[in-house]
Amino acid sequence: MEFSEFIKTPKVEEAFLEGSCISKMIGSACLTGHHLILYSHSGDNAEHWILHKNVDAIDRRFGNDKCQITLKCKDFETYCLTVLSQEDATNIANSIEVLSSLDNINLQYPFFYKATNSLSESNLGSIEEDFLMISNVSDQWRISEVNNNFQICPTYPQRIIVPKSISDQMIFKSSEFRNLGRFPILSYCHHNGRVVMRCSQPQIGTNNRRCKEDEKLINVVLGSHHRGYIMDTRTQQIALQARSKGGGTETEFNYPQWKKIHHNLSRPSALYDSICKLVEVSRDKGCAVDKWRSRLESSNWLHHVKEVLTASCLVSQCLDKEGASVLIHCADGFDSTLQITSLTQIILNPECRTLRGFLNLVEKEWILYGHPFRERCARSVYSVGKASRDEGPTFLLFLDCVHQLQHQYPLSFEFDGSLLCQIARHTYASQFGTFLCNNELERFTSRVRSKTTSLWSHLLSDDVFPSYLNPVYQPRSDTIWPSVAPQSLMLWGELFTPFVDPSAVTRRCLRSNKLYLHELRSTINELSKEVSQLEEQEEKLKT
Amino acid sequence: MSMRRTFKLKVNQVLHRPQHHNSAASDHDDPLKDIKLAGAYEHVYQLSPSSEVDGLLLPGEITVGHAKEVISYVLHDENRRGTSGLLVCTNFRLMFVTDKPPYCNLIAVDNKLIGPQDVTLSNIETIYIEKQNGKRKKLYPTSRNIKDGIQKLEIHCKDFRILTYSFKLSVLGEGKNIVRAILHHSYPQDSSLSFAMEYISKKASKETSTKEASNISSKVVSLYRKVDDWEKLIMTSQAMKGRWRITSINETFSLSATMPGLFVVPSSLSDAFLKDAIHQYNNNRLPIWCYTHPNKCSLLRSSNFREESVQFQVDQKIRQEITKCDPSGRKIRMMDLNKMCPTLQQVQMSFHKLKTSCMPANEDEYMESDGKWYSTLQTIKWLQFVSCCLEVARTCVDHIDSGLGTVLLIETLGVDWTACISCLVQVLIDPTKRTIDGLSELIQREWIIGCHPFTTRLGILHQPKKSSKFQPESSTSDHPEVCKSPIFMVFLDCLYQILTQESTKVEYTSFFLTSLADGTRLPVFDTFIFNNERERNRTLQQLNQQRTTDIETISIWDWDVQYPHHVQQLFINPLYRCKRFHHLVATTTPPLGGNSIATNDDVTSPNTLDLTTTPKVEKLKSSKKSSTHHRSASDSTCLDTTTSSMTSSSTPHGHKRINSNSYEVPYQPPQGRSVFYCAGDERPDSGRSVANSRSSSTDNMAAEDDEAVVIGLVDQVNSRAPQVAERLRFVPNSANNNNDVIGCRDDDDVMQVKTGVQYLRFWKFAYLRWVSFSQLIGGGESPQVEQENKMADEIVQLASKIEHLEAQLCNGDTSVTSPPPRVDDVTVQFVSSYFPYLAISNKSANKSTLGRVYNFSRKKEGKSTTSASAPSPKIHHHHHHTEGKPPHRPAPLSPAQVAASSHHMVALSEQQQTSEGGTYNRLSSGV
Repeated sequence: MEFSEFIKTPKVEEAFLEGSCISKMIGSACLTGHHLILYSHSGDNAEHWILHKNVDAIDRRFGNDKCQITLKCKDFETYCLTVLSQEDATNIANSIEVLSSLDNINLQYPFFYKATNSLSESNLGSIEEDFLMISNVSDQWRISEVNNNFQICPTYPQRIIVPKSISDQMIFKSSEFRNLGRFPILSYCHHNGRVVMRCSQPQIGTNNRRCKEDEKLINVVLGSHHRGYIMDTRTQQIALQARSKGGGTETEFNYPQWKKIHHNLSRPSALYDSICKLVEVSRDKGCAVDKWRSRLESSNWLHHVKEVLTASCLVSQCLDKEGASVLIHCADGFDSTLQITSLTQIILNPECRTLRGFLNLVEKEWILYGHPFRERCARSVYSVGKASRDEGPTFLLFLDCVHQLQHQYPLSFEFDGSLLCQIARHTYASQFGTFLCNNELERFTSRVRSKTTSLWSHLLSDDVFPSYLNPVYQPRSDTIWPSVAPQSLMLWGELFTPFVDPSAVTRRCLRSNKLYLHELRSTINELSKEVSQLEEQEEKLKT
Repeated sequence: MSMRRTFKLKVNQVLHRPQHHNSAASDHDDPLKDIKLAGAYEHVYQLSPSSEVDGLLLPGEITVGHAKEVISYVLHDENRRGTSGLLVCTNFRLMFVTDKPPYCNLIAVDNKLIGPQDVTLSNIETIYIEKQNGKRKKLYPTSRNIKDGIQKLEIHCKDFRILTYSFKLSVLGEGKNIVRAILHHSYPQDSSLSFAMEYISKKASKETSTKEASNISSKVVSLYRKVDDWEKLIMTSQAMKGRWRITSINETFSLSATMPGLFVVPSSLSDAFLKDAIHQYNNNRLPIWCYTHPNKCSLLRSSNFREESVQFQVDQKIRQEITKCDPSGRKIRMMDLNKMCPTLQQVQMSFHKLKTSCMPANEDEYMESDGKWYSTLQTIKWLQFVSCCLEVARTCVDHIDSGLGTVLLIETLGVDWTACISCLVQVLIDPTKRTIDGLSELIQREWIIGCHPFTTRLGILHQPKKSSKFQPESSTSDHPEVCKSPIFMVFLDCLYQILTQESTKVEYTSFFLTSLADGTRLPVFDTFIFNNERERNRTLQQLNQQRTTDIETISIWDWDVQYPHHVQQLFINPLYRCKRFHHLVATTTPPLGGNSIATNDDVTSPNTLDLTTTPKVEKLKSSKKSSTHHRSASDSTCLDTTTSSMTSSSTPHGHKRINSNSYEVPYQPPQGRSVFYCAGDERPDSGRSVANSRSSSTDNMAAEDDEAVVIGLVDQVNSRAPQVAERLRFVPNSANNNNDVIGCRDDDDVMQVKTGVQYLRFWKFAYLRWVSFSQLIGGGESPQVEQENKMADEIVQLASKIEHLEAQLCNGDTSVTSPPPRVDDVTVQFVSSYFPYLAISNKSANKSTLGRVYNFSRKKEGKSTTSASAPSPKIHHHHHHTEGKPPHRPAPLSPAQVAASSHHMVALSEQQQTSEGGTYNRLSSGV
C-alpha cells in the first residue's frame, strides 16, 4: 500500500496557519505519508511538522472564499489551516482523516523514522539489573523462563522474577486462576525486604473456585510471621459483583494471612470523561473568571489525582511503616494497579526519582508489564463519542501524580516537569516505538524493539538529557510523603493550561525560572573551572 | 562580608530564650539571662512575679495581668497536648512564659520584638472563652460581666493563628483577671494609646541611637517627609525636568487632612490655584503625581471631583496642565477605579471568608474542606479580586508603556485602590521599584505618605458603634470612610503573584511580604498605625509637648529593630541576587526542551531533532561601576559571537582571560574601568560580522535605557560585594531566531504578568502558615529558595575567589592577600514549606498515622507507635496529656538540661524528617 493513494493534494502553496501554541504564519502546506508540514514564507523559514497520528479530530468550515480546517491534536493543541480552494481543503482533510487512523502497525511512523545520529541502547528494564538489586535485599527470588514465548501470559515479559521456592508448574496453575493469566508477580522490593506485588483479579466466579498454588505463591512471599495486605482498587461491592462475570476478589477464608483493603480508583473510561472536561475548561480562554475554579473542580480530575496518590501513600505506609507486603490488583491489573505500584516506588525509592531511574520505572512497570498503550491512547479528548471504552488517560494520570510530587518536593527529583510533558506527548503520537503496542507479545510479533527507535535512548542520549535535569536537585535518601490536601494539589499548568498569548515572550517567562537556574548551575561550573585554572597559574608563578 | 544566608533553624536559639527558665532557675546565677537585653522595666504594677518577666519586656512595656499554671495547647491539635507556664498580658502583647521547651509549632524566625509563643494585642481579632459547663462564648470589647470559672481561652488572630489556653490548673480567678486585662487592652480606641507611643518615647530616652549597621538595605529608606526625598525623586528623571514641581501648600495639613504634606503637581499650577482647587475634590485630594515613564507619560492619582461642585473649570484646568506636562500632548486616560475594582466591603467580606476557610479548628475540619476546596476558593473570590487588580494595573502599564498617554487613577476617596494600583503599575513598569529598597520606598510614598487609612482599614482601633454588639469581622458600616477592608493585603497578594510568575525579576521574597503584613500588627513602628499624616503629626506633637526631648519614631523599614541580620537575609530573592553574577560566565544555549513545547518539533519533526545548535550573539559591556564618565567608552568594549551548541556550551565567552596568550591583556585594577576580553576575540570566527550587525541594532538601543538600571544595580552590588561588583557587566542576550531563548535578564522589561485566575496561586505561605498539617517537610517553595540561595552563594564565592586570584596574578605579588570571604558551612537542619515559620510540626510524634488509616490495625497501633518512637529518647514527659491528669511538675531544668532536651528536639525532628516526612493527610477516606 502506498501512502500516495490517500494523498490527492500533496501541496498547497498559499495557506494560512495559526495555532494554540504557535504564532500565525503564511506559508505552504505539504502533505506526506506521516506529516502535515507547514513552511513559512516569511523570512524566518519556520517549519511545523504535525504528525498525522497526533490528529484527534478534524473540523471543516468551508466558506465561499476560504476554507478552514481545524486540526485538534491529541496533545490538546489545535491548529487552524486556511486554504483558498475548497477542493484542496477537502482533499487535505480527507487525507489526514484516513492517514491518522491507519490501523496497520507496520505503517506507523516509528517504523519509518530513522534517528539521525545513532542512539545507543538504553538498556532500561533489564531484568538482570533488577535481579541484582533484589538479591542485595533477599535471596528468595529467581529468574524464571516460564513465560518463554509468552505461553502463560501475553502481557508479561518473557523472563520474570519469581520466588525461589515456587516451581514453574505452580506459576502455570496460578496464571490459569488469574484473569488474563496475570499471576501475582514481584513489582518492588523495599529495603526492609517487604515487597509490592501485582496481579489481576482471581477468577473465583460464582462457584467459588480456589487455587492452592496461587495461595502458596503469595504466601511464600510473606514468610512465616508476617501478614500482608491485598489492595483491590475497586469497591468491595464491585469486586464481589465481578464474580458473576467469572472474576472476583480474594476471600479472607482462603487467604487468612492477608488483609483486604478496597480503595476505589476510577476505570479508564471515567478518567477519559474527566480529562475531556478538564481540557475543555483549561483550554477555554473565554471562561468567566469566577467560574473557572468550580468548573475545574467539577471535571474531577484533581479528585482522581488525589485518590491515586492516597492509595499509593497507603501502600507505601504499609511497606515502610507497617513492614507488611502488599499485593495490588484491579480487574485486569494493568491500569490503576500500575499507577499505584509505580507511584509507591517513587515515594519510597530515591532511585526512582533520578532521570534514569524514572525512565526505568516506566519501562519496567508500564511497558513490560503490559499497560495497553495502543488501546488507551488511540483517541484523545477531542473525539468524544468516537472513543471506545478502552480509551483512558491512565498513564497521563500517573504522570500528573508524579508532577504533583515534583511540585511538592522540588528538590527531590533529578528530572523536571518538561520531561513528564514530553513523555505525555509521546504516548499519543511519536516517532519512537516505545508506546506503540499493547503488550510485549504484540511488540515481539511486530518486532518493534528491533525496527524502531526507543524514546528512552533518545531521552538519555548525551545531547538531550541535560535539558531535562532539575537544576536544584538534591538527592535525598528517604521517602517523600506527599500531601493530598486539595490545597497542595495543583493543576498541571505546563500540560493543561494554554498560553493566553502564544507569543514567544510569554512562553519564555513560563520557563525562565528553570532555564535560569540551569544557567546558574553552569555558571558555577565555569567559575570553578576558572578558579582551578587561576590556581594553576598561580602555582606556576610561584615556582 | 558574608553573603551567606543562614538558613539554620534557630531551634537551639529559640529554645534557649530566657523565657524558658522558670523563676527558680532565674534566681540563681544564670548565664543565659545576660543574653536578653536588660530591659527597662518600671515597676508600675507589682502584679506579676516580675523576676520572671521583666527581662523580657520591651522599653515601655508593662504587665497588666497574668495567670500562672496556664496550659498552652498545641495548635490544631484538638487540645490534646500542651505546655504549662505563665501567661502574661502586657500593654503590648500576650506572652506565654515557660521553662519547658515548647512542644511543637515553633516559629523559627528570630524576632527581636516578640517571641514565638507571643502574640501582640493588635493581632487579636476575636476572643472566645469556654466555661466549665463547656459553653463557648464570644467576647466583645464591650463585654463586662466576665465571671469566674473560665476554663479555656481561645484567641483568633488577624494573621489566621489560633491560640488556646486552659486555666484548669490555675488558681480560681486568675483566668478571669487576665481575660479582662486582655479584653481591656486589645481594642484601643485612640492611636495615641498605641503601644508605639510608649515604646518610642521610652526607647528614645533609654537608648542613645546606636544603630547597628546590619540593616539589610544599605541605604536608609526615604520616608518622603522631607523635601530632599522628593527632590531626589523628580530630579533624577530626565522626563520630568521642569514640568513637575513639589508643593508644600499642605505642609501643616490645614488644607487637607488626607493629603501628604508634600506632593508633586504640574509646575504650571500655582499654589494659590491649588489651594482653591483642593476643596473641589472629594476627601480634599488633588490629582497628584506618582510616576513618569521615560517616554514622558505619567501616572497620577486623585479622588473624585466633587459632584456638587460647580467649578468644572478647575478640574478641566488641572487636566489641561497635566496634559501639558507631556510634550506630545497626548490625551489623559481616566481610570475610574470605583468601577474597575471591587468595593471595600466586597474585599472585607472575601477576606473574612478566606480567614474562615484558613482557620480550621482541627485536622478533620481541614480535611472536610477537601472536595470543595476549589469551589470554596471561588466563592471566597479573593483570587478574583487579586486578578482584577493585576488586570487593572496591566491595563495602565500597557497604556503608559506603549506611549498612549498619561493615566489618571480616580477613586471616591483616592486613598485605597489608587495606592494599590499605582504601586503595582510602578513595580511592573519600573525595574528600580522591584528591589527591596525601591519597593519599600514605593510603599512608603504611595501608601503611608499617600495616606491610606491603615487604622481604619485594618481595624486597629476599635470604633465604638451605636449598636452594642461589636462585630470585628463583618463590616459594621458600609460607609467607605469607616469601612474595614484589607486592601493592603490584596496588594501584597498581587506582589506575591508577580513574584511567582517572574521570580528572577524581583528582589523581594514571600517572606518579605509576610513580614510587611505582620508589621501592620506590630505596634512598635509608626508606619501602619495612623490613618494619615496629619493624625501622625498631631499625635506626635501631643506626645512631644508632654516630654522635653524630641521623640524619634521608628519606621518598619528599620528592619534591624525587628530581625537580626541573618533573618533579614531571607528577604532577598536568591534568583534576583544571582542575576548580577550570572553573566560572569557565558550562558549555555537553551536546552533542547526549550523549543519543543512551542512547535512540537521534538515529537514530529525529524529535521529538528538534532538541531541543538543555536546561534547566539552576545555583547558584553564592561562594568559600569565607575559611573557615567566611562560609559561611552565602555560601550564599545567587545563583541563576541559564539556559536555554541549543547555540547560545546562550555565555551566561556566574555571572561576567559587566562586563555592561552590572552593573559597579556592588562588587567585593569578595580578603581578603573575594567575591560574584559573574550576568548572569541582571538578566535577566527566566521559568523562574526553577521553577528555584529545583528546585535548592534538591538543592543545599543537597549543599552541606552539600561544605563540607569545598571548603575542602580551596581550601586547595590557595591554595597554588598564590592570586589565582585567590578565584574558586573550587562549582557543583553540578543534575540535568537525564534525568540525562545533563555534570556529573561532584560531587566528593563515591562513585566508581562498573567492576570487570569488560572495563573494565580493561592498564597499558602501567608494564609496557611499556621496550619501545621498543611506543611510539607523538606518540600514546598522554601527549600527550593534555600537551594537557590546556596547556588547564589557559591557563585559569589567563586567570583570573589577569581577576583582575588586575578589580582594576585596581575600584581605578580602573592603577598597582598585579603583572603576571599569565607563562607561558613551551611547545615540546614530543617526546612519546611513554611520556613521560616512553623518549623517543627511533630504532630504525629505520638499519634500514629497508621492508627488513622485502617480500623483493623488499631490494635497494632501501640506497637507500631513504640517502634516508631523508639529511637528517640522519651522527651514527652513534661507535656501534659490533659485527660484530667494532675500536672506533672518537673524539677527546674538547669541550662544544661535545657540544652540537652533541645538537642533531643532536634534529634527528634531529624529523625522525623527521615522517617515521618511531611504532612500526610486524610488517608482515611475510602478505606
